[in-house]
Amino acid sequence: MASLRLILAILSAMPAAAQTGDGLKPLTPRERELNRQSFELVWTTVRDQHWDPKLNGVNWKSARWRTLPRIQRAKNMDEVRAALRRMLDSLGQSHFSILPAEVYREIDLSEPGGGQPPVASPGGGPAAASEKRQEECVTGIEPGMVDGQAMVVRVRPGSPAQKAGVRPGWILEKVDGVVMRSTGDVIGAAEIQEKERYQVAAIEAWLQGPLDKEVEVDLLDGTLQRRTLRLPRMRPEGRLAGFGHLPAERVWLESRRLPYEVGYVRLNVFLDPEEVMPRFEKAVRECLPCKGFIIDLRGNPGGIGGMSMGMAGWFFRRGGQRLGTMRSRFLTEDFEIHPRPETFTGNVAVLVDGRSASTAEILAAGLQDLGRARIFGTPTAGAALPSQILKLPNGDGFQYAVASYVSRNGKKLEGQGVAPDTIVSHTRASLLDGKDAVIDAAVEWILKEK
Amino acid sequence: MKRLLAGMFFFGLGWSQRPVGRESLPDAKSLVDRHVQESGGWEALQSVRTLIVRGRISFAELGVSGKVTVYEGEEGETYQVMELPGAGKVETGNNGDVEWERSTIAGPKIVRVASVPGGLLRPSALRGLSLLPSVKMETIGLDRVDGRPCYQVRLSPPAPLPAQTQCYDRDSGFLTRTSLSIRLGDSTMQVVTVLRDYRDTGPVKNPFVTETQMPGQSFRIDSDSVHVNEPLPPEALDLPEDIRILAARKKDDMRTLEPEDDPDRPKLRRKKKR
Repeated sequence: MASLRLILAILSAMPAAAQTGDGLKPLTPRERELNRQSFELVWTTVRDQHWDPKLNGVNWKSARWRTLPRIQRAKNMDEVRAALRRMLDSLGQSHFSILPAEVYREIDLSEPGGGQPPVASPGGGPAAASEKRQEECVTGIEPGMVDGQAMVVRVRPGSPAQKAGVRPGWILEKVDGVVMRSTGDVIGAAEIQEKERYQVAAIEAWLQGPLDKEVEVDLLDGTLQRRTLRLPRMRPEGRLAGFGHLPAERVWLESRRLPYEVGYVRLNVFLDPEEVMPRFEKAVRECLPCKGFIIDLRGNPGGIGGMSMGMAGWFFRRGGQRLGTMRSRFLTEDFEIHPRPETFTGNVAVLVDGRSASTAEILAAGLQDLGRARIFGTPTAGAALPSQILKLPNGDGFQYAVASYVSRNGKKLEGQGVAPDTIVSHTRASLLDGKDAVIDAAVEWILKEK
Repeated sequence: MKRLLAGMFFFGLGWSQRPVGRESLPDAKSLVDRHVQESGGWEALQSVRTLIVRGRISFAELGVSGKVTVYEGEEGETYQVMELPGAGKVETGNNGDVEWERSTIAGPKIVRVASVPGGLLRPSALRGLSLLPSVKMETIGLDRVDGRPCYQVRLSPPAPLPAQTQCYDRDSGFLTRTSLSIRLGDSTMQVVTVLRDYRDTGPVKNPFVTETQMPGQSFRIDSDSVHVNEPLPPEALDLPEDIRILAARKKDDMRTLEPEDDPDRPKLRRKKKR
């Protein structure tokens, strides 16, 4: 049972997967019946599994009677999904979503062999499944929202963007003729959670595409001169990895030694522990005598929750402490910190932004509450609920949160996020100077703090 | 796994109490005895010294599956390792002096260290049998597992062991389901395990498929092989290096700290509540 507890403890969430698919075909009678069964499964799962028996104050019976007629009247799958999403949205919580069948199939590990458990190939089943679909390729531009503008915040070394001379701080005006400012404004004006994440994701989506197709980018350089570039694309960096029903993602960890004896690690997503955890360990071990250590979680949407416990263990000598607590209707589980034989004792800074979510928030909030790290950046997404994905009778996937999470000092992260100790973000001027204002602030604090 | 057998028979041999008004149902003791007989008999069960199980484990809700290996030694020492693609290794062990967990994801953890050598070894099958006279049991009804009829037996061992309900297949006599409430952290939950596909494994028969259900989670183990009384690999029960260091540190802490300074969480929590 100890192993089971360990498995339960490592669960956490990824924000909802992308949603695609035409879904406009008229429904057959059989499909209508499967949709009704799917609706029942979604409704009863929330009723029976939601960690809060009062369902966040929502009248769930009423939601049922509002939604069922919509499901029955639906002309196509898009309408079915819209009705289900509307019902789930009434909960007002993240990590409740419907994944179209074509998306769910990409991440499904379920058995083809009559109840036999799947045997994943080396490297992970979901990853292998995702290799089959055409991967979205990138230009090497990492976009961000700076002072309300779509901007280049980082350029990957060796990428087509770098070869074309693109620099951080340049303003992204258009991608394939689409005005990026408008894209950001539309999302920025919407009443949605995780605004920054969606704004940047929208810009990234415009930049991404097939490997063999160039993208036209209009940029304003440091002197506000317009530059129109046709950029080829390259495969995204990192190793493709998944975990169970979580969608496969490219995972990369960057580690280096900054000037003034400060270690630095940046992780884009909490997945692929077999690769990431040893590399994180190496980065910390090689920096044990350093003055400080920076964990950069900007843009990190979360992943496997337990990795936060494993990483935190490098910064505490004594056990018996926890990052926070996860509560489902059936189980209360602490995110315990497991100290390592050797630990880093210098100052620790964690960098976050509006796209840091879930496990990234769990780690940042826990280290902050325990007084072990100072947080730099902008408030996080506030999307920290652990979730699972269930296959519905109609073939779609249903992602639902199974637990709530409160940080060590009792802060609810959902909807609130982590408030940095020092609020600091990129500025165009600092980017054009080749600087990262958030890293600079963290290094300055590390060197000042005894 | 051996502990499962031990627990099963420990619960199984108690004095039966024939419930009033249930004369048509078989006596609980006779059901347990039949299961024992079908599994190889008491002598065979008591001859089990070591166990090696290799198989596959799958967590359906998570979509995660992988290899599982379990070693149990003569004194009741254990080591279990799951290798889950996308998650890495999850290990648990207990050599009698140190109970520990370690995973690629969450790192190493010392669950407990013994204050006396071998203090963490749990009762073996034989030691457990000595407690049997205090177990109450009764047949409480007829139920079905996998569509097959089975007799339900309610077992009430002395505290702190949890009460459980078992179901014995009416035709084969084998135990096919156990149901009990367990504590995980601060919570209590109902755990139901279905046992299937009993096969010969040397002196005794073992279920090759177990499926465990609990609220919101389930897992299934499909054994590929079960070896009884074969020598364990020499290193199977050795402590990993990081666990050894952390356990030594914890022992030092136990020696040097006054009880109120012990950093272990349960004590901290109690102190806070005051």
